[in-house]
Amino acid sequence: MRITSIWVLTLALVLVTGALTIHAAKIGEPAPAFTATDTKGKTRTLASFKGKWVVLEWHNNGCPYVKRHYAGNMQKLQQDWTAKGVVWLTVISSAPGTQGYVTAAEADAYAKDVKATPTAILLDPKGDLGHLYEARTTPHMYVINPQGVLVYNGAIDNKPSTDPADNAAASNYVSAALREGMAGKPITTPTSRPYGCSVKYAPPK
Amino acid sequence: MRVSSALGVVLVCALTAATASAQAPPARTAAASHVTVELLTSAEQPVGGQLACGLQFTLESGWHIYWQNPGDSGSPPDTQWQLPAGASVSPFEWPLPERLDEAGSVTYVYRDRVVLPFALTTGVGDAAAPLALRANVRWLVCRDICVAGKAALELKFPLDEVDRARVPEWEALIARAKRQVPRPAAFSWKATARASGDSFVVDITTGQFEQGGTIFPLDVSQIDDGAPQRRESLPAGVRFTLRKSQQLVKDPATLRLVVVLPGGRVGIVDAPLSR
Repeated sequence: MRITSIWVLTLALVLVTGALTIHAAKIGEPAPAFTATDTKGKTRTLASFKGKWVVLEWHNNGCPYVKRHYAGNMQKLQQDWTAKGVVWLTVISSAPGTQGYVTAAEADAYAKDVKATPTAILLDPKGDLGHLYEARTTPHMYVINPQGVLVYNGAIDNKPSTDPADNAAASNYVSAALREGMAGKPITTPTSRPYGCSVKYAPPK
Repeated sequence: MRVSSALGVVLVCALTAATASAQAPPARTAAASHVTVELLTSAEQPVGGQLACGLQFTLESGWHIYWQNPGDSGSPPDTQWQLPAGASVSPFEWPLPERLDEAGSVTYVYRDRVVLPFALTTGVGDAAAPLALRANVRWLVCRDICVAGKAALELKFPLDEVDRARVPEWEALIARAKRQVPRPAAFSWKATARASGDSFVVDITTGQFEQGGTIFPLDVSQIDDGAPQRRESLPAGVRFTLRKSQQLVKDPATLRLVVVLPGGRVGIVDAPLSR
């Protein structure tokens, strides 16, 4: 009896600690399901994009690394890949009062101004989506395949700098993952260290 | 009179604009947003073709720059050298940083002031020969926001009189920074590691009961920097349970870690991963 209860307790502990250490967004596993609201007030779920390639792009318009990529590089990626049927979701997890926080109207005005054309801009001021994916930086990029499996998690490219001059020589990991994935090939670089500014999350309660 | 003074104002404005837009000529020190960057030397001239130098960052209160492994975000400073023929510089040495936890995002940073020591080898026999060391430095300085900065610095020998008078102070700053650079741990320390699910379990054996400690991973994307470091005292050491990085696809053969134990005991260990 005593032994049994110890066993149950141990098992419960193992299950609890196991659950705590499971990676939220792990390569080769189903990407975490989410529900979020975009700047048009529309509810977006990952499940609704099943059958399509999905890119998640963490964004903060004040971050110098983001500014480097919005000198034209990010807009071109959005244009090229959405034209091929990819769902491109720009996510803003800056908490109110922090750098990069914007209202829906401000986010849309910014997108219009810089000619950004993501499929949707998701507003995540509480950081729920950011914490679910453990987004660390802006930009931090994820690619999800049509089966809903995460195939890329990391930096946008191999040049961790704020200098737009580096774009020309950079090798873009997101494009590479989409190209290889669509061709049915294994993804050469499924992860890399995301670089950039920290995501300006709300302080933990 | 009136016309000429107006013209004077216009002229002064034009000159000011020209000066502001021109790239500042390289100097030993550069003031930028939230940080002053300067090259320091430990002696008035190289001795035996060698000289201990340092790159110093003096930061405004609240701002920080990053260690060689910046952690969850950020970037370490990056320098491109222009050196006279035959001369070379060593990579920077990195004093122990602070572990900064902001809303669960952990970075390894320097605040207030840091000197990154490096060694200059002149490749020239004549110690008194003129010599100029140029550094194009780029950095990221952050508080709640980040600002990218860059400067062109130049350290010229022979030093001028003002700088010569400051050499003893710089020598002390470089020496102090070198003392803060983690060195390989004492031979009496043993480190082993094993993978356990989504974590690495690292045992540091020091020969005594240890209470607490902190790990600074030397390599990026192996340890999840933002995850709490779980510690457990062992009879002859301490056990750390460190969550693996989300960016880690394959376990490395060895974890290279800076271990900081109570009482200011610091050492670099190579913890081979048992299979």
